[in-house]
Amino acid sequence: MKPAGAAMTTGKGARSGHFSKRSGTLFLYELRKIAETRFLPAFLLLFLLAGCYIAGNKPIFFQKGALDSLNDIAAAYGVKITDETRETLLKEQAESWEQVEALYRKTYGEPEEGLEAPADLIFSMLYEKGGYGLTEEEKAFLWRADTVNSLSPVLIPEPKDLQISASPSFLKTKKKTAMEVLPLAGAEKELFLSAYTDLEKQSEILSKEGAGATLFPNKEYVHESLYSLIRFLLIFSLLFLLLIFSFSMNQEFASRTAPLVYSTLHGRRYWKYPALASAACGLVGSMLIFAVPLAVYVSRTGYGLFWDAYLTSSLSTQLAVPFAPLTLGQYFLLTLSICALLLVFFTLLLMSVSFFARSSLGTIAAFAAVFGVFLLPAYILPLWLPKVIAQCSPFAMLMRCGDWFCSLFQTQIQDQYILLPYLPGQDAYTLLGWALLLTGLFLCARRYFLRRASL
Amino acid sequence: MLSIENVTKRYGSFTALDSVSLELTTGVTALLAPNGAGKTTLIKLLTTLLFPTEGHILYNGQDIRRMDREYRDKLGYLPQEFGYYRSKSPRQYLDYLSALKGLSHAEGRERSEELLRLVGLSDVEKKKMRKFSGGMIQRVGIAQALLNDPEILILDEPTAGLDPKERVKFRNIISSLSRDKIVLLSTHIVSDIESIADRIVLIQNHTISHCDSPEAICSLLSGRVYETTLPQREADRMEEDDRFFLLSRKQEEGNVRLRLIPQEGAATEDFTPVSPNLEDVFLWLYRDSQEAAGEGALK
Repeated sequence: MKPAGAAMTTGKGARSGHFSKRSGTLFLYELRKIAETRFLPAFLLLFLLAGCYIAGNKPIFFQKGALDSLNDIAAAYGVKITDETRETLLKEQAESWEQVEALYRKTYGEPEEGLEAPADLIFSMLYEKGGYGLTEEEKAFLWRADTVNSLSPVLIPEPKDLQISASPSFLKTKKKTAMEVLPLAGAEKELFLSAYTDLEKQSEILSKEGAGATLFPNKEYVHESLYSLIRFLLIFSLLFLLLIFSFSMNQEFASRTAPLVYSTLHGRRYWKYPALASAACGLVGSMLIFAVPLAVYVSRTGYGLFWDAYLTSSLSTQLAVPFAPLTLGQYFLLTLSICALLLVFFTLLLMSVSFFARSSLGTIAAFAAVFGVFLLPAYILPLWLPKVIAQCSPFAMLMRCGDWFCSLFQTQIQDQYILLPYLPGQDAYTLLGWALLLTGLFLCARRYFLRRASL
Repeated sequence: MLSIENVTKRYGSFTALDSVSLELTTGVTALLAPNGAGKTTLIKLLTTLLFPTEGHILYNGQDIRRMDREYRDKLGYLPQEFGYYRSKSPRQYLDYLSALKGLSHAEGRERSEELLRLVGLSDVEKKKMRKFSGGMIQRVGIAQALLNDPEILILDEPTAGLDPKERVKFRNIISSLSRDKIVLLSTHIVSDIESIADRIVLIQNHTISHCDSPEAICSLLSGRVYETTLPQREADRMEEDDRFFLLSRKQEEGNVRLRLIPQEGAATEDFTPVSPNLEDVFLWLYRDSQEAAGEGALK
């Protein structure tokens, strides 16, 4: 047995009380623990749910029409139209408004409140009612009236801002459509085509320079899509994080390695690396989920300049903030940063609760306090102060981040535009998301409690 | 020296350990107690998995709770229910634990190799542990306990699942390590204790009832243990007789050989006095609670 004893003393000399921080090794092992076990089915389930969500939000995510009219106007801005054509269009528009109103009354009766403008009536008949009760001729008339309506800026003699909002490929499609609809012929047609070609060239130059385009008109659609994505990302990041975190923290308990791991140098509060690994997996996972709808969105709309497009939101225009409008890419990065910061904050909160509350009951009490003090009063008590505190607490921000974004940016939009209707499935999906979130929280607390109690 | 000073651990109204005081020095100290006596609680207190409700545990005069990482760096622990990651190989598992124990990568690698060789697992160091037998898993557990070359080694049922050859080998390793380490060995296998323990700690009714050398512990029953060989029927009758506490029964060429402790004056001329062993003491001390009342008379 001499070799055994000798081996032990050799080791002692090498250590001499020095602690080596092998953070990378520990982090990687925690990642591997997550990757090697039952986490994949959970990921696939969430991926499936993400698919359901996207399907439930089809009008928002995939409604190409939302960006069509944007290009109508952009194209029109770029076209130097003759006075004669302008007059023709003005006349046609004036005549068509009366016909549109008459058509609505004839088919659907008296317009509902909020449908006073002819453009709203057209939208209602074509998009909301799907052309139900209209003949093919009437539908064709409405499509034409819609196009003419979208060309309204053309009627302004000298547009002040030339905005290019479409990709070259989309402009080609739009040119074809416009030629079918507009009453153009001869030299005027040639002029129109040449103007469109110029527009395409400018768009191509901008695309190569990377300067981007400005998504100026119909911004409510873009915003709404973006806010939906943000909310989507936040909810799924949270769900993902909670699931992984719950799993990771429970791992030592499940594999009965807790006594062993918690009696080592890193001790019983071995939170840091599992927490970091969970956060990393949560972010990567949600990014994967996020990437799919975004890729589909970009490919379906044909917007190559999507990321570099500026968003002239109510934040920058109505509130007159002293910085340039953010691009979509910047918005996305901002969202990611907020998510990451909130996740880090949440992890730190959990760690500090664990540190200060040394007993299981104390930990549960601290969780209850965090939840109760900062969140419940906002929903239960009719008191404004706890409500304000609750709204400002990181926990509430984390839970309500998507709504917060929407309420901040959409106030003006709601006043001025008709928002796309939400599908019934979307509400159900949101409820499901909340249910999953609360279940995750409950499981996390329960497993944490069990883990502590098992020691 | 590891000193346990008046340590009490309560879970609500239940007292798992009551005013325990003990000093552990270099050498092997065996912990002997029936299930539920508070043995596991004591071990968890010593491994900082639990903290005392009252009292202190000091290592070289410093409270281990205050020492925190510094104390755990000196600790090697093999839990009774030894958990492991089934998808990892012994090498990966030891690498992970060496990181947890604060060893550098090179040092951890060197120690892992050394210890895997020591416990005879070098040839399967890259196989996943899900394929291992209970004995092999136990050997990995022993290796991990020694990874950081601990000054305090706490082993909870370390030889469970090992075959006789491995058990002897392990006992020899522990014996050689105990020269400069505090080794606390919790086991039900009396032969392990007899062969390597310098001291024996007996826990009874959630407190320490005895702490002494194996010889001194055995002497508790000095002159009280007898053996006798009887025909089957008489042996059965004696077994049911309350005046005799039966320690063991063995069939021997048509007769029965009994090892027993008779009450005072109940021994007959046919009884042969024998030297008590640890098993005798264990059985006597941890007999049911009614009989335990007679323990005072023994002392």
